[in-house]
Amino acid sequence: MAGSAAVASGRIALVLLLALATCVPPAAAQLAVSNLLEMRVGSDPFDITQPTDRTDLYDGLVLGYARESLRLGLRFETDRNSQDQFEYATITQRFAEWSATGTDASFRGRVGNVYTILGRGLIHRSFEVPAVVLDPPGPDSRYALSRDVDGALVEGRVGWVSGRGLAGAPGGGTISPGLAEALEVDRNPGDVSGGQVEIAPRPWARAGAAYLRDVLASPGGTTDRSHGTGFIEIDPLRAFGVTGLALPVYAEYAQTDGTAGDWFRFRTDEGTPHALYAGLNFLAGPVALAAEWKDYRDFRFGTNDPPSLVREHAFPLLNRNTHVLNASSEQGYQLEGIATSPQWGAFTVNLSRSDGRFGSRTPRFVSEYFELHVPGAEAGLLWGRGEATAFYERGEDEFVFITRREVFGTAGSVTMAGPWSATFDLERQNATRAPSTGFRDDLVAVGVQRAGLGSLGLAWERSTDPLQEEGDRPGEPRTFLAAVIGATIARGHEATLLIGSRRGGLACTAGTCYDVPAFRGVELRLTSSL
Amino acid sequence: MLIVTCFVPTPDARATGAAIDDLVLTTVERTRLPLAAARRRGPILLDYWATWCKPCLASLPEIQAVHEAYAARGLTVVGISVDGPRNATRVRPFVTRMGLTYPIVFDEDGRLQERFEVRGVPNAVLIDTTGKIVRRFTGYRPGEGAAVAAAIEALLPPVIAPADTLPATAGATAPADSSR
Repeated sequence: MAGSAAVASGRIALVLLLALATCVPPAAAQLAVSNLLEMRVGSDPFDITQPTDRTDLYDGLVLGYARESLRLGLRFETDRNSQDQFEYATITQRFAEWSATGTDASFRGRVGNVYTILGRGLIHRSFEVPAVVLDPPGPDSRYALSRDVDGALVEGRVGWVSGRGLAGAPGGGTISPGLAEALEVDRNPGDVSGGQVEIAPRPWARAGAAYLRDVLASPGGTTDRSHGTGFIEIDPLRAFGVTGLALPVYAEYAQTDGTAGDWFRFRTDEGTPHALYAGLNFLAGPVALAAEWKDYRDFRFGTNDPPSLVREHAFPLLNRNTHVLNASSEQGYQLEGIATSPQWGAFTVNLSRSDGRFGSRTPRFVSEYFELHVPGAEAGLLWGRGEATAFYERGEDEFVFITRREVFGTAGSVTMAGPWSATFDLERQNATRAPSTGFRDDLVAVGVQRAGLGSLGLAWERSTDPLQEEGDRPGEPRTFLAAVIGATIARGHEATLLIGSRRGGLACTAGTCYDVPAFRGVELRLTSSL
Repeated sequence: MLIVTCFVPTPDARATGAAIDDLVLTTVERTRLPLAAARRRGPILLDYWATWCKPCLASLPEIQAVHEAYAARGLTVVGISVDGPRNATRVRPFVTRMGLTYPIVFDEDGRLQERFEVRGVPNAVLIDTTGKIVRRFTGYRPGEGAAVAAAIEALLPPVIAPADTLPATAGATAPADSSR
């Protein structure tokens, strides 16, 4: 059952795509082509199975065709390496979509690989993160980051009522096509079906409910679960006609395998699989506040993605520390305040906390983050030609056995003569891993850029973390040094060349975190959009 | 057996509808933004960004400057946040902090990235009044707002003004210091 819907919808999408692409005259159509090519010579220094001169080539080609209300698309991926491990060349995504928009109504239907979200993702979120190529540790087979549903999606809106429905086979995005072929497993196991109805009678008020049935066959047996959720969003200040202020409030509660009556009890006890999320903003001129709460219990089923309530940082050391949500058991909050001044820039405070339970263990995540961003032109900083940010964070993440953490640093840019500019980034982390192993991470990155041409950067990292030690040099700090050259080689074609070594670890993009292996060697990345 | 009907080509997409006309975006303030109406007014610049993307943060003041310079001449700038639902609540305070006054849209399911073949951020897509993508700006280096402004200028009708109010040099309507 798992693959039948996927195969059928995939065939329909592919036939539609090929047939229509050949018969529609190109005069009123648009054909979009984008390509991502990654070539490497080198290896993960922590992986003793890789030769140091291993070569890899990954290519992802995306074709899109649009003519008025019709759209077709496909993605072709291939991954090759000198060790002949889990290589593949296949079409990994394809779809056909039709949409119509009237004065007060709209419709969209799509077959093939579809993406959507129900509520804020408590019971379902399918998505892709463009330009991210996953390279999971172990199988050494790369592929695009996407978590789709292979099936069908319909959406419609009439006036202030809207709805959507989906059915198909969900793909967890956790296995490459090459590995799936070798293991003879389905990349899109199981079936999901469900939908959402939403009403938005006023711009400041909307409410909705969604349902999803989730069937997953595994060697351990088949699970068949139903999830229901309801949400409401309202801005009371806007409702009363207050101008200059905003107070949007959003709340959503979801439950698994409960009746509608169970849902209305809003139970949050340990025995009830549930997810409660609430968030609000308060915007008043130069001051902005955000507050969020979460309470998730037994709510991790592979096709959902509840908000994690953790700040995702642009600074590399902080981004690598991002707390990864465990919706099996996690409660907590996030508070953030921003005050902006034309003279002094913006001051940001973020406080977040999560508590979980694993048997007798009750790990805690705490982060207190402070940031000052100063625009140089207004403040006279950096000769009035640049901007700078300074930050300080302290906390702990017992979910990953970090019992103490302190990170601070500064980064900024300076505009120089003509089209030239320079950037800098200095960061340090002092941390302790349970039970009592202290370590320090340092990062220095500098770069020069020329608008319209390219950039040259140097990134240096040093770590005393025992997990980063080289096998033949225990107790010694490890250093990573890389030169990164970026260039526009033609309109629509960008190249990035990395020479040296890059530290691995967690990377987070668009709220999705994944492991990036360390690398030592030469890597060329070419992106093209036509 | 599947029968596919071929379409008759449309001679003038501007008059009869273009490939973007079905898109009605909802801003973070819950107002509707039909791209069909926007393209009839003038070009559209879709700027993809995220709060966690460092180059995006550097580019946003330049995009704001472009909006201020060309909105009156018909340009519609739309900021598309790709933060994902996990960071949804942080987007509006961030917009306030950055002083962005053009509409911001939340691409919660990635549809708007897929629709315009956006493969990473920052990324700006310039669309002309026929709904056709005429230019993409991938990545960011300080000062590249000038290239965006020049591409927009090429799509706009020339400014007709009394002789004593004409700018001293061509393109002077672009942001005075787009490299800030």
